[in-house]
Amino acid sequence: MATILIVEDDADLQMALLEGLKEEGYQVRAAPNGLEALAELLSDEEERPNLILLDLMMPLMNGWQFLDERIHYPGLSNIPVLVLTASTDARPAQAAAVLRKPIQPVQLFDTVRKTLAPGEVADA
Amino acid sequence: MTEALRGALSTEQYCRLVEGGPSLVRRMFPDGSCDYVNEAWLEFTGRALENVIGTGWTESVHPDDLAECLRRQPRGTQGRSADIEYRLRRSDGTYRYVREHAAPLEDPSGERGGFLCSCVDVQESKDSAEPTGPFLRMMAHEVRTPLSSMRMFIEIMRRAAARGTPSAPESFAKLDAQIDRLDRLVEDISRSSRTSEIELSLEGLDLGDLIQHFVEARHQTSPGIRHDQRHSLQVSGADEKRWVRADRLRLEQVFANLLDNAIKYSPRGGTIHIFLRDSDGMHCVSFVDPGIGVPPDEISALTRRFFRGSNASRESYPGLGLGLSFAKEIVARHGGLLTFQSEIDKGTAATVCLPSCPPGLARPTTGPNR
Repeated sequence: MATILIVEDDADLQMALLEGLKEEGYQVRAAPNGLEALAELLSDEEERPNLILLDLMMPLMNGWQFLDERIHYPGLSNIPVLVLTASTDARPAQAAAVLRKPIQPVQLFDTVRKTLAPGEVADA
Repeated sequence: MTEALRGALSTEQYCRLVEGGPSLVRRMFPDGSCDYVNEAWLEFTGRALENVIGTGWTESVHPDDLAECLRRQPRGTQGRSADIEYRLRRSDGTYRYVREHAAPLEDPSGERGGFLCSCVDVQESKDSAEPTGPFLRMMAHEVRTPLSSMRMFIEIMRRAAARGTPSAPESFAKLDAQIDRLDRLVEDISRSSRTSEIELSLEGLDLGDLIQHFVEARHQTSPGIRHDQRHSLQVSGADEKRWVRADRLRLEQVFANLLDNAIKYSPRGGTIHIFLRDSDGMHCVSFVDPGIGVPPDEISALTRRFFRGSNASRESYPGLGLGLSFAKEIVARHGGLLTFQSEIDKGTAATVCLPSCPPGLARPTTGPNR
């Protein structure tokens, strides 16, 4: 079962994403900012997630800083990152995909699925 | 013809303009290094010349703005650059917005290029002007986040319905909480465009009792304050009677705002203390957080509309900057005071003090009051 790390500081949205993705059958964990996400990723190399869902505006270490920071650690830059943002123009180059808030749950689930299995043909 | 009428400045007069003028001037090369800054620049930043020549000057630019500041590098000597605004650290440690004009350097060799950059402090005009662009962007952010949560909760409920299972009451409560959040946002925004005074419906209230109810209601809607349980609440001094004449709903709005701020600006979590006490014939309630704090000379600006602390960028702490100005207005309408004490990286105490009221006068009343 694929594991997803949700990095989102808004406690309500974090809870909504946890519940929604759990419902979809994923194992989910959450961190409230980039700094704690990085700490979690580095503390347990065995249990690294298959995908990171990343908000951009966050305290302590925001999403842009997290994307810049993670490339310094071997193994972290291979984990695909889906960016969730309320901004209409932010397009971080290192993200596998950018989803705009307010998110469409079905679109989010679909993007997560495709990102986890890039070889899969979506619309057969 | 006008050119013919106009006199010309001598080189020495130009020098005096740069050296003795109020503008902060520096000469920057395409690699981002500077080989010249004027006295005004050194005085503003409080730094020594030897520490800023080369790339040392960049340490005075706000880290979030540095990339944009350096991006205005010219492409060859033809390079032009639009005026930009960025935050420059003043000698007292606070960041001030400066507006900078950059004139391309005309180097006959064509090799070094670069810019002669001249800037002035525009913080005051920024503070007083309504920042339409950033404000609208931030408003979109503030609306889209709860909408995202609502959509996800609805999707979960829809799936439950498709399976024939009724949704748990908590699911409806979670949706309700998001609607409340949007409602508060709309209130803040509409309030900011009104100039009329807030109407109060005063009644006799025990401040301790009000706080107890407020905290209980908060625990009911979000157990552990937030579901991630990073923050806890501790109330003290609420058992003693402290009578005030106040508008219950408005005061609750103020408390909600102060508590939300305490949580938001304490990203590492911790205990938020709410304590009640008496001071100079006033009854006071303080919200004390273990958060990032506010630079000392910015404390007085906290209740200014659209104000952002220099240690709380929009990228890290999104928000409209309206809540505290509204809270201050409500407290002032009660004849009270909203004050702050803060220390960087230690935390902030926000205190509401309201005039005490003799118990005889504070009996619950009905109907609107003055």
